[in-house]
Amino acid sequence: MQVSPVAAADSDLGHIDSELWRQVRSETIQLLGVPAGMQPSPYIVKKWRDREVGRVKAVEFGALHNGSAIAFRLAWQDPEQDVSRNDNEGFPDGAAVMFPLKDDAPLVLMGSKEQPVNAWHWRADRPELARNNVAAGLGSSRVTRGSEIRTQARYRDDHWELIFLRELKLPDVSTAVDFSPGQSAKVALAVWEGSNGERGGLKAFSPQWIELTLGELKAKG
Amino acid sequence: MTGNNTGRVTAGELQLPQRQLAMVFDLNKCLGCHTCSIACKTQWTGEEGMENMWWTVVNTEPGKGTPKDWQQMSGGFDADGKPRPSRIPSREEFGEAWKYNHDEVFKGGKGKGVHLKPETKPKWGANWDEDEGAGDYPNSYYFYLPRICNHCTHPACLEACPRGAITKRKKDGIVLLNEKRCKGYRFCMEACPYKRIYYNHVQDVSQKCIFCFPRLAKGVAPACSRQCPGRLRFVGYLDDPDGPIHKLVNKWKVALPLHSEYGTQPNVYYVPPLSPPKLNSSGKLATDKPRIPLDYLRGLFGDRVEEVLQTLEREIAKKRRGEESELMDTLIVYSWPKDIFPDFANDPVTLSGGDHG
Repeated sequence: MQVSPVAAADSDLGHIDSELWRQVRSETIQLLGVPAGMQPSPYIVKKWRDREVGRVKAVEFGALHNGSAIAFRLAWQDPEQDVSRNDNEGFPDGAAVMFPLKDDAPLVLMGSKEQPVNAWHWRADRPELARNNVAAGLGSSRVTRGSEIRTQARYRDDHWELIFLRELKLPDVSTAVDFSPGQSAKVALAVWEGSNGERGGLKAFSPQWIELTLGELKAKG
Repeated sequence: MTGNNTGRVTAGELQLPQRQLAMVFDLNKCLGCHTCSIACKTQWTGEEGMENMWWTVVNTEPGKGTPKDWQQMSGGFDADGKPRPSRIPSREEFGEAWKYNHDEVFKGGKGKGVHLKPETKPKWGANWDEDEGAGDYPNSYYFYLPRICNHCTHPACLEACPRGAITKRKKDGIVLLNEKRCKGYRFCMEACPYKRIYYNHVQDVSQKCIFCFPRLAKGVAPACSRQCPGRLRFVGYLDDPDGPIHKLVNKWKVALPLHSEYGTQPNVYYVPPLSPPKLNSSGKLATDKPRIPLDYLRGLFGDRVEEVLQTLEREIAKKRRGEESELMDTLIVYSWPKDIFPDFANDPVTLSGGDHG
């Protein structure tokens, strides 16, 4: 998938109503529920054996960059909006984009010790900033500081729309994926449907890395 | 040993701590005063998001308990050691922390006309059905059941957590929840059959009793035990032959786990409650039947409960006759605090910021 370069301010790139996003070609990415058998605790395996994991089936996905920042747009259908964690048994909707920090990081296992992954995790109960996670296997994700990932989300007409915005490069490449115009990258997506009790490994995900190519900005003049 | 500490097997290996700390609650001494609950609340659960937390709570039995009807929620393990699916209790079931009209009464100048009351109409609370019990007059009955995290030998919470955020300490078997690893998924709350884990919705983490481990490190007993006016909460190591825990659990075998059928091998044990004899229809004592039905106690503490009550009665009778009874001497706690928590008898005053040396 092309990540088209645009001559636009970061604020435009990260704005949900920006004209830029009407022009970008998005792709429909099919999602799969993480099978109950893959859940990392026997309790979760038993409880979810006969339940549907991953209620969201597809995401509209697009991406843009402006030479200094990159933005991803996800949109998906969700008839039930969940934005709160106030009730013990309530879980907020969520979404994430995940990148390998080393080339062959295993997607389904969320990385390994040698080949970790970087996931930007948004949740509807804290909608304006995504958390930067590094994971080296299932159940190992940890939140790191120093990566500001701005998000803007909107729920309308049974749909979520969400934009992630981050600088292309950050100082700590061990915890934050590095993007360069003209280079390729890989991404995977995940969506959590709160009303279905989805949290942690109970989610829908894109089972293969999506190849991204960052276009180069044309030199002016 | 009682057979209650068989451990758990992970990746083919038996997991058992080197030693296991345990508590014994003598239900014949519990006054239902809630000093334990307040001591814990004051010590640990004062932060934002912890308002409705009672890591130690005193329920009335028979009763719905905290959270409401927790004994019907499943969780823990079945007879084959497989997890039993359960659910997360709601905040309403635990009981909300009611907000009161303090400002109106104390600061609003209406102190003489308005009385203190919750701002919303309460529907349930941690001790909503206190002292209700069961049975018909003159044979109505109830008793108090203090409850904390059982620091189980086979903790369902630990095995349910997909993040390894819950650990059982090797040196003393205390089960701790690492809030830095926890992401607030609440699988632990589902899996715990005793429903002793709370969700802090402000901090987005689960929280529970920590057996006052920072106090233990200074030789000071957990706050609930130290402050208990009834002096019924024994604390010590299960394997210490000179300590009260070993004597009550393993030697005299009068302290029983609550709902051992839940399969988690809890490390809180209860000396079951004796009760006066029932009255018959003509108002006379029917001496062969205790007021609290044995079947009810069996449902909580298992089949050995009758034998335990007989042992207690036998030893009480011995003591009354002026004979020696190690069991009674242990339960009486002649020398507090060293007889009730011998390894943790230091005064809490020694804790405050090192000022006391």
